Amino acid sequence: MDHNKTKNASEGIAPMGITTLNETVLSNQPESRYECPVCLNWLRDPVITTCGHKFCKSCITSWLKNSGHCPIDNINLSMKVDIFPDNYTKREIQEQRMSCPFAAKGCAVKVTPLDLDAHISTCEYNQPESSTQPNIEIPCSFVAVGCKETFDNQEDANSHLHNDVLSHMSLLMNAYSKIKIDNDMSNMDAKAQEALLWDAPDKDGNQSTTPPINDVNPLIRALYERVVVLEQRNREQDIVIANISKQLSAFAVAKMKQNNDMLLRYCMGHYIWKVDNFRARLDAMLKDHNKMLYSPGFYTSPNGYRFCVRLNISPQNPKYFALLVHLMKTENDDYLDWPFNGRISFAMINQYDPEYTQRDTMMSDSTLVAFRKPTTEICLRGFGYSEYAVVDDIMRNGFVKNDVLIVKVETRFPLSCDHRCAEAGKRIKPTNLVFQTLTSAPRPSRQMHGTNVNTSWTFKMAVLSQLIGFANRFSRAPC
Amino acid sequence: MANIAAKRIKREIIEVVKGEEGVLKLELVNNAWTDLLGEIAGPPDTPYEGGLFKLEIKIPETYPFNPPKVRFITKVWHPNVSSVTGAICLDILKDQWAAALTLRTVLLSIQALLASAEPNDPQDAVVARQYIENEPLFELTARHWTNVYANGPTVVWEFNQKVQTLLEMGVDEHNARVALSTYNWDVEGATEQIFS
Repeated sequence: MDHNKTKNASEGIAPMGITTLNETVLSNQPESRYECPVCLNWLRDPVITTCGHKFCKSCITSWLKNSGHCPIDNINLSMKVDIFPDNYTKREIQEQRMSCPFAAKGCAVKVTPLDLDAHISTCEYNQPESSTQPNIEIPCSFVAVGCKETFDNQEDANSHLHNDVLSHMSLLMNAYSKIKIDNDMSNMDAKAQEALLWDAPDKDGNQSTTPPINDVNPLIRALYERVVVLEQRNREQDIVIANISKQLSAFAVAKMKQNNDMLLRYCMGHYIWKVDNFRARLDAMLKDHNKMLYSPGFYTSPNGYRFCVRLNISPQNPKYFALLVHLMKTENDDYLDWPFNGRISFAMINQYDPEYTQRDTMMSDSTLVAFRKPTTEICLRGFGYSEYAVVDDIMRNGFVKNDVLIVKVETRFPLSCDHRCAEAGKRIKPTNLVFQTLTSAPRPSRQMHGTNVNTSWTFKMAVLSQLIGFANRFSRAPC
Repeated sequence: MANIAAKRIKREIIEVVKGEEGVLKLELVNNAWTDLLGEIAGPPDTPYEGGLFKLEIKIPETYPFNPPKVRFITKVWHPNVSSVTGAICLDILKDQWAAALTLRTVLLSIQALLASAEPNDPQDAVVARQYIENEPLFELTARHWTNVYANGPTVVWEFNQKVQTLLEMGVDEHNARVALSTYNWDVEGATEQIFS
C-alpha cells in the first residue's frame, strides 16, 4: 500500500514536468483556494477579510499600508477590524504533503507546501542545470580568456579545470598581455582618445571592442573635424583682432587729436608752430600766391582768446613772407573783453644758431577791426607784418631744418586796460615802437579775392626799414 | 528586486503563457525579472483589429504593492495613449491599482482600453479632439496607424500618398504621419507646421 501511494504521488506530479525551472516553480502552484492573490503563492499565516478574501498576513499588511481597500473588490478595509486569522485554512495547508519535484531523480523528501521552496533550493538532487537539462553543455569557466572546451556535466568540467592548468595559464598570460598592450596604446594615444570623443557615432562601437590601431580612419576624421573647428575659431579670432585693432587705431587718432587740442587750449598763449614739409609748401605758395598756411587755433588761456597764425607770400612783394595773427571765434567770446588788448610776439627760430632768431613784438590796437570780437570763424582781418622776412633768407640762413620751419608766437594777456597802458609804457622799448606801425591786413578769402593789404605809405616805409635790419641780421648768419 | 516581486512575475508569466493563446504574449527582457515585453492583439471590431501591439513593462521593486509601469512601444493613435511616448492613461496603472491584479489582467485591461476609448480623460489631447470632432476620420487614422506600425490589414491609400508627398519634401516618415494625423490629413496645414 505504502509503495503504491508513493508511486501515485510521484505520478501526480510528474506529468507537470520537472525538466525546466519554470515548471519547477509551477509544480509548486497552489490550488486557488490556498493561493494568496497578492504573492500568488501558498497562503502563509492566512488571514481572511470581512469581504471574504484570503491573503498572507504579511501581504495584506503591506498592501494596506498604502491603500485602504481590498486588493480584489476594492471594499474599504481596516487592518484592525476587518482582518482575522484564518486558522482553518492554515491547518489545511500544513496538513498537505508535497513530494520534492526532484523525486524522479531520487529525492524522497515530502514537505508541506510552505516549506517546499526552501527544500528545492537546498535539495541535493537540485544540481544546477546539469541534472535537469542534460542536453545543455557546460562551458569551461575560462571561456572568457579563450578556452573553448564544453562538457556534458560538472564532473568533466572539474577534471578539465584540474588537468589543463597549464593551457589555462597561457591563455591568461595572453589575455593579460593583450590588455597591457591595449592599455599602453590607450595611454600613448591619450590625445587620440580625446579626439575620438569628438567622433560621437563611432564612440560606442569602436572604443571598447576594437583595439585603437583599427581606429585610424575615425581618428583621422575626428582630427580633421577638430582642425576644421580650430580653423573656424582661428578665423573668428582674426576678425575679432582686426576689429579690436581698428578700434584701437581710431582710439589712438582720437587720443592724439585730443592731445593736440589740449596743447592748443592750455598753451597759455605761447604757441610754437612747426611747419613741416616746408619746401613743398613754399613751392606751392610760390606757384600760387593765393595759397596760405594757417596754424591751428591756440588759446591765450583755457577760456581765453583764440588766435591762429598765418604765413603766406606777401601779395605786394612776392619776395617776402607775410606773417600775421588772426583772432578766431571761441565759445567764450561773449564773456571776454573786446577789443582784444595785449601784446603779441613773433619769433622765427633760427634752428642752427639761436642768436639769429628773429623776434618781434607788437601791441594790439583797439581801433583795428582785427581785434574786435570775430564775426566769422576766423576774423577776416589779421594783424602782423605784410612783409615779414625775405623768402630766400629764410630758406638759406638756418631757419629751416629738416624741412621744418618753426614760428613761436606769444600773446600776453590779460592786462586790465589801465594796467596794460602802464605796462606798455614801462616795458616796451623805444626800438620796439617801430613795429607797432603794423599792418592790419584783411584776411584774404581762400579763393584769394581782395587780398590787397591796406598799408599806408608810412606804414610801408616802417616795414621796409625793419626788413632791412632783418636782412642785415640774416647776412650775419653763419650758414 | 524583492523576493516576492520576482516570484510573482515568474508565476504571472506562466499564467499568461498558459492563458489565451495568440491574444496575449509576455517575454522576459532580462534575467532580473524587472523588464518585460508584452504583446496584445488589437480587439476585433475596432480600428486596431488585426494589429499586434508591443508594450514595455517595467516591474518596480515594490511590486505588487505598486503597479507595473507599462507603455506602448508600437505607435498607437488612441485618445488615451500618447502618440509620442506611448504612455497609457489607465486608472489601474495609477491610483486604482490593486495587488490582486496581475500582468495578465493589466494586458487585458489595455486591450479593453483600445476597444473603448475615454476621450474625456485623454492622454493625447490632439487625438482626443479628433475623436470628439470627427470620429470617422479618427477611426481611419487609427486604422492607418495600425496598418503601418502594427501590421494591421487595412491599407489607407489616400493617407499613404499624403505621407509620401511629405516624404518627397524630405520630411521624416513618422514626423510626416504625426503632422498629417494632427492636421486631419490636411497636407498644407501639416507642411506649414513641419516647416515653421
